[in-house]
Amino acid sequence: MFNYVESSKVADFTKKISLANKKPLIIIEPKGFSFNSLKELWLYRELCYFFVWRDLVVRYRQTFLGVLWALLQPFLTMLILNITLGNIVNLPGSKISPTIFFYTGLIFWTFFSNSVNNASHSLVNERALITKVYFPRATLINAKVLANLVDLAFSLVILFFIGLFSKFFISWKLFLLPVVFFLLMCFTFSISILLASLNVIYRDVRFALPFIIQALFFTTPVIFPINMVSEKYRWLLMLNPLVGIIEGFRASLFDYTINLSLFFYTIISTIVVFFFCFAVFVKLEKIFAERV
Amino acid sequence: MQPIIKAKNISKCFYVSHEIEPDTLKEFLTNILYSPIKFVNKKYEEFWSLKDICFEVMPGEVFGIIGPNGSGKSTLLKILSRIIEPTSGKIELYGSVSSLLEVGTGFHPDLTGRENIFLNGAILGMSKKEIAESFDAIVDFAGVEKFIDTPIKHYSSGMFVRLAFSIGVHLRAEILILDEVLAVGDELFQKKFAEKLKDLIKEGRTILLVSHSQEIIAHFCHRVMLVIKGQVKALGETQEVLKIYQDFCLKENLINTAK
Repeated sequence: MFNYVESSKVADFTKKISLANKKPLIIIEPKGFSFNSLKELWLYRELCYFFVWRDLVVRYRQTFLGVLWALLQPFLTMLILNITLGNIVNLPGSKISPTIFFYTGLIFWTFFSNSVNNASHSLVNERALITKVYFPRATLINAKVLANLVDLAFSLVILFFIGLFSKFFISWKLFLLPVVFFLLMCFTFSISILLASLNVIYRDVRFALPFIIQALFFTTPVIFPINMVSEKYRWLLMLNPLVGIIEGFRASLFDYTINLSLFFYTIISTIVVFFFCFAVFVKLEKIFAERV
Repeated sequence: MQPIIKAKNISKCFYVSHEIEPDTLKEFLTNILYSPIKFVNKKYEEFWSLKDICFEVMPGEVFGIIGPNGSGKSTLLKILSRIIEPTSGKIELYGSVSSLLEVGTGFHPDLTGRENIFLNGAILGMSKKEIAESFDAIVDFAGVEKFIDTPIKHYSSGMFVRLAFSIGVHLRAEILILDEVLAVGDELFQKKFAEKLKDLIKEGRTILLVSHSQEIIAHFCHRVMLVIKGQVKALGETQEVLKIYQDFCLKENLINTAK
């Protein structure tokens, strides 16, 4: 048996590294609590892109209608709601048609619920990856949310055409639009990351999820305007950031009134929810590979 | 020369409960309700999978890790790959790391060979540009040119393994962590793989190799660390450490047969 290597023959390649790196590139030790993983998430953005791409390719491969599925779900629901509830919804002070009212709510809602649904199982379903390869775990969750963002983008195109027919209402409120999108992404990511990490430890999430989604749906003004709720309980509804997000979206593009103090309240609550959820995630992330 | 891996006093403790762990929130809550006292002083037995492991690896070195099953080798590799956190201790790495703890992690059956190369390469830490550069070499090494645009669910298990390995050996990281990877594939491919590994060594990559095959360890490694029950039993020249390991195995065998 021959001894393969002679130590004198260490290539230049290695010498370069050992001279260049005086400081360690990676330090592995028990870590305390920190929000560093947000920075790391950015470093691994290319991997996130690959996960998004994989999800989209896999989702629509071997389907007949392909991406059309993303459009059909909210669009058909909107048509149904128009027939059943179109005459009942009462939209005082706004000249928005029920079609627009339903569709704007539905596309945001579809994005939120699909993202949370997909993301909360993403860690458990990728057990093989989590126990064998290192990467920031939030990448998996992020990718699910971003993949659904692609679906949302298609729906927005449809909304654009519907809006052309029924008239946009452009005013100073247009500047709410980017804020609304930021809040939607932030809130969706927060709930996704919270449920996904809890799911690793307690598989109850699987059973609780349909109920949580349903409860949120009935407390979000998707199919009813917020003024249909009795004033006594309206503040309770405000606990749900999606209320302000969806109302803000309608107001930014169409002739629809929004209570601005509600909107500022939404901004604050979304940020609070984000830090809470992310803190839970950071706390649990370390033991994912041991518990999943 | 400065070492590329410095590991100081690495310990890993797992808490093993002899009661059945609550798997759902309900069990967890009922456990508290029924026996709050038991819950508060819940008894966990500490199990030290690794205890005060220290070692250093020089750049360009092939460092072998051997030991019987359950000695903590895999735990050590997982800590080095940052998959799990050590309970105490510190490791400094002076170069980028890629680990191949299992072949074909992250392969998706519905994606084609081409798509899986990109996905798996990204998962293992390559950039899109690097994968594109190595793409032809990967396909060529795996010998799957004809089926590169076929979904891998239609691949034979041999093709699957070859493709997975091929991505692994084309990783660009300065430190490669390989767990028992030479054991798969037919003899022809094993030979090809061994040749490739020699090339990597010639390039000056640092390689951490875990294997149960003493032949492979003796063939490739400059130095070897023997880990038994989570502790370093020997560290040094390959032949010497292998000798110690063989003696250990003989002794264990004798004890077992005597029982």
